[in-house]
Amino acid sequence: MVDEREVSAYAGETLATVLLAQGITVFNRTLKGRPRGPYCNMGGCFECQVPMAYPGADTFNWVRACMVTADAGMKIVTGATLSAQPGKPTTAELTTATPGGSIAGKRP
Amino acid sequence: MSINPGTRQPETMKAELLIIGAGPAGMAAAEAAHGLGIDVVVVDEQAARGGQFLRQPPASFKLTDWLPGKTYSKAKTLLARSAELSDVKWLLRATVAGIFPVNNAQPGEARFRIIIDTQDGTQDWQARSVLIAGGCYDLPVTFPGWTIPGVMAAGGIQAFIKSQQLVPGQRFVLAGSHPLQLVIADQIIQAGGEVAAVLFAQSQSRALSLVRQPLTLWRHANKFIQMASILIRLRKAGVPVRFNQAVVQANGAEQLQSVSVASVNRQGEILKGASEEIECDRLGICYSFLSSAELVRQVNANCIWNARRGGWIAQHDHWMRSSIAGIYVAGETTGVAGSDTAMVEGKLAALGCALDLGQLQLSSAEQQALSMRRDLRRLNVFAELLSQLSWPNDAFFDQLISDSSIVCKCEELSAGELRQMLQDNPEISTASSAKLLSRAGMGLCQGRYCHHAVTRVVAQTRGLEEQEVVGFTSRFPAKPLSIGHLTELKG
Repeated sequence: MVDEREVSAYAGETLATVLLAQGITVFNRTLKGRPRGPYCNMGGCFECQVPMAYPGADTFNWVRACMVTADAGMKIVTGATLSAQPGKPTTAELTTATPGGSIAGKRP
Repeated sequence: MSINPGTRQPETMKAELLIIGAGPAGMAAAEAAHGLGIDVVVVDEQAARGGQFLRQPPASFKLTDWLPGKTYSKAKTLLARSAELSDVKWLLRATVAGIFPVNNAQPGEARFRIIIDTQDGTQDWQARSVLIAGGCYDLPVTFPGWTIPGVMAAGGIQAFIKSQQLVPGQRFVLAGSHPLQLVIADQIIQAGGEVAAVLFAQSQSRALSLVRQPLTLWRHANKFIQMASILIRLRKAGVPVRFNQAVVQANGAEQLQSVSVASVNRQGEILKGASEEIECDRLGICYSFLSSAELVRQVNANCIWNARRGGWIAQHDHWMRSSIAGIYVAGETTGVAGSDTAMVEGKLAALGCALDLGQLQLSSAEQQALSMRRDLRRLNVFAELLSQLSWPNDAFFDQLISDSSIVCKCEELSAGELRQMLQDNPEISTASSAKLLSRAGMGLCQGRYCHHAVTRVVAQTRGLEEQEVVGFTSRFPAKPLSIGHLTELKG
């Protein structure tokens, strides 16, 4: 599930690949509302972070999309559904985007 | 989230040699050390062996021609052999957070404690010897718009193609000064993408200066033949390869729409006004590389600063021993030089380690090391020449870092704000004090993506050399670690 929408992926694809293949380039937003997407694709830059919940879980944690292999039942929220308004708290936006979910790992 | 310290204590695990990095250097070292009867564990953050050079597709992808060509054949053979090393423990998807010396370690006992973070929690390791072969990453280059989605490290684009069979965009521009961008442009074309332009900041004669060295040409003929065939393929595909040009700005709000290109003269000065715009949805930046030196610096092993060879370069003796007894270094950690060098250095480090553990006689080690050292001398001459021809001068980067560009992407600090803070605080003249003042380097990437730019800004503002600005202090944990995982640790 990406932003409440069901998408399919090949086994072994990373979350970053799944999102880019869906045409999603804005993976998250900064505290000032600026869009961000993958930069290094090797786990070092943290630009591709997305909140992700494991299959069956409703707790979201920030993960590096380039480092996590997609699995059936995973839920992801991306920058596509986050507000571009600067100053809006990112976590509040996340909660509305995932009804019933709670955000555990807040982006520091 | 509730935290219950003490409910799940990780047990301490032991190894004679713990190798950090499963790339060409780490795999070669593991194979050699295993052959010498050393108990080895290899740790890597990625899901598979091979490092960035051999980023592998998942086992579920059925490919018949993954990474064809001579460039990869030697390392691919090593990769295949390393899968057969049954006694070597491979700890993948695991991140080394820190290396700590064990106080009062007796001879024969573990000298280091290594904290490793995995998806399932933290692991506590003890090792007599540690080899740091952490590789390198694309030099992050700061210019207006570099944080817009669509701008990527060229190596990141390449990794999508190599390991995920994904062309991450439709129309690409590659900009930089390193010949690797020609290889990546070729891989994009072969995978079905369109390359609008490959831009080199330096002049054509400088980029091709290696060709004018007959001895180098002859010794590394394979590399030149490969490069020539790539250039022919790019020409056939109609890809313009231009020199004396640089991307000075990325344009787009939510997604990259175009890049602004300016001319660069022979002195590396970016000429203003002569701007052109190229439409593209993906820009790859390919100037140089930085060594992942955070663990070497965390253990206080001696490093020297050499921007064009990878930033912080670990110093070592002729057995790849760092300045800290029991810590060895190999691969890009000792200066960016590519996979061939990395494999030889890995083997040599394994010999050094076996020698120090008393599992190899000096005479035997010396004999085996002879040809390795000869290879290294030859390879290092090439790496040095390559870094000279592919490094724009330092002032080139200063011109890209205009006031409106974001220096620290995590803390969203602009170069203008940093320069103003430096002007208001004339006593600040090191990267670390600039960090305390501005928060640059305090975000999730821990300064990996701003330390070069911050160093440049401080050096330029104060009229200092880069090595005088010193760089950020490297601390535990080397990568972010959850509080939940941290509380599992004893002591």
